[in-house]
Amino acid sequence: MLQEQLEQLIRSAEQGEAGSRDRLFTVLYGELHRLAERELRRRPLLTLSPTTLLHETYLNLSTRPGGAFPDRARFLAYACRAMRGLLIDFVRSRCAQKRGAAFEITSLPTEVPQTPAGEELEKIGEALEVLGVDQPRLAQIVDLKFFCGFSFVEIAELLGISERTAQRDWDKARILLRQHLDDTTDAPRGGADPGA
Amino acid sequence: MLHEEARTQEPDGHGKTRMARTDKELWNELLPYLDEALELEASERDTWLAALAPSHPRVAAELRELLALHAANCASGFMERSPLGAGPLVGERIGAYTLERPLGRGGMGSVWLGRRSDGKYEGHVAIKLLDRRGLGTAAAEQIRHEASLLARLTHANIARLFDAGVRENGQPYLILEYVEGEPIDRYSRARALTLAARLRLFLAVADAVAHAHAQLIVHRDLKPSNVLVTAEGVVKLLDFGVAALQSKTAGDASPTTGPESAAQALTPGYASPEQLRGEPVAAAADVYALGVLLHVLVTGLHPFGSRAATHTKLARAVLTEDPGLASERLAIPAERRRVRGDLDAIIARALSRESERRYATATELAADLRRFLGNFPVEARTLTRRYVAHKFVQRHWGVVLSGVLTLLVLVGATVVTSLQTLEARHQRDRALEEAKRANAQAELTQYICPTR
Repeated sequence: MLQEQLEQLIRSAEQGEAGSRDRLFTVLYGELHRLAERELRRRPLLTLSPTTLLHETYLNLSTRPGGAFPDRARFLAYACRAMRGLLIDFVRSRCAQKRGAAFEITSLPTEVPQTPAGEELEKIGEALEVLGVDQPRLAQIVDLKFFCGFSFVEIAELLGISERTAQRDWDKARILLRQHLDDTTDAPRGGADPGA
Repeated sequence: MLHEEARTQEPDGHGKTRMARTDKELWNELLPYLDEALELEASERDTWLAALAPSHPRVAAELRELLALHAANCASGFMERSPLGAGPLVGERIGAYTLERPLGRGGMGSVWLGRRSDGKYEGHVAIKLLDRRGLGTAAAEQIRHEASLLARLTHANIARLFDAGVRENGQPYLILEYVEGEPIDRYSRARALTLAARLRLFLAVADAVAHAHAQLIVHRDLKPSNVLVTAEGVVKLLDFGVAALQSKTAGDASPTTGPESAAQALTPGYASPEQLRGEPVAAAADVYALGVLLHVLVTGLHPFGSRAATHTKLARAVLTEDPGLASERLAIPAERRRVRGDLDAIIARALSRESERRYATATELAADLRRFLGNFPVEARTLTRRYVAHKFVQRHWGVVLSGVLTLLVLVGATVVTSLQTLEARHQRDRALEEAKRANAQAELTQYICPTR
């Protein structure tokens, strides 16, 4: 049931039906979250990297009996957007609770965690949302690289571009995001409260 | 819930979101220029912009702003780290050990200080987590097997490998003896050791390497940061055989990893020419690294030091040039005299670009160094003399050959010229090819481990 639903949603999303896009992400988000929770409950000491989680979700979905299912690259292209949402929510909850978040995802161990705090991450998420309107591919590369931890080699392969192009697109995306962040910091808009 | 938020956030309160300053049309106009600029070295961009400005003043002005943002992004490492950070790993259990704190990052993973979880015995271990995940059971089995071979390597001057395995998430780890010490070069410098004392320290290193070679274990990544001296003055070699183990696990392609992790970690400046060329590595590579280390200990300088402004230049020098005599790097006449001749020859032989011309083993290198310390004639020198004679013959062949060429010139100058050009071009292409490969590998190393 879900496979067909997903395939259907991806198809309508690709045809530009705005509503189906959101539905698609909601479905993928739920699926990622469900699988992460299940894995972590089963093996409490396990830590999941976003890439592992995405791959496992894909395996999990694609091996279920049912109709057509998108190939890995196409699946990841959409699922990475849902992963962004999952991570922003996760970091937000981690910030809110400081300790004892519902579950823990970790990437590679890094000794100097110069990572954006919850609020900055949310701003990046917002800027990315804006970027995605005009430059969907640049936004996708940010999702794959920054939020999902794919390497440029993997991204190049997934999107069928060269590694250099992936690297350049990443640089361009960061320029536009920086620009957006600087602008919104210079002229703060009233009313919006991202730190819910 | 996130998606509702994404929907409702509308920066300007209007229905349509937009890029703040660089709108789509302008962006598309700038794009080809931006692509071109991003392909340039950072240092070339200003000149490039200045050249563009007269014909395209508006584009250049916009680009200048975008490139400034880019430079700021690079400087601050904007979005370069995962939003997840490292926090949760502290306190995590790896095998029978608990991670206490990170010690640092190496070529292919991070190193942590660990402690036995069950309190069986006190004391710390170093835990190396390799940047590989999702390894299958076959690869995990291979790691355990390789590690069991390495674990048999017991030598007072070699840090032990206690255990190895693969975590539940498929990430391989190694449990190693934790050594507190100083890199050998810094140790010697800080204590202003005499030449004899430095050579004795070096002999302990060479003997330990020889012991491992006798068991067919090659280090592959000898460098000062892997050769520590403890407070008691005991030499300890770290990571013996680990480089080989790492590249073996990297050979296992799994869906979650990219090919870039399959490359072997190289240390520019200590990697032998054959390693830079990506050729199979044998004990001779360790002899080369020992040669570099010996040069550093004797002179305080890297053999290619002044020629090695960047990794690329360094790699090119290692592949194509001979380092000068070690003694010529010394300023004090008495020191220079002591090193000139025998020690020069020993170092030069260990640093030969062709692996066959180096000492065949670390044992031979150590033996020659002992001969030097005992004032016996060293082998490196006798060989060098023979080599010089050989070279002399080669030169004469050159004279004979050029005679032939002269004759040919008389016959048909253009033919010869084009032949020579062809040969020159061929040689240049090969050198370029080598340099390119070395360049790529050096860049890769830097990408994997930017601090080195």
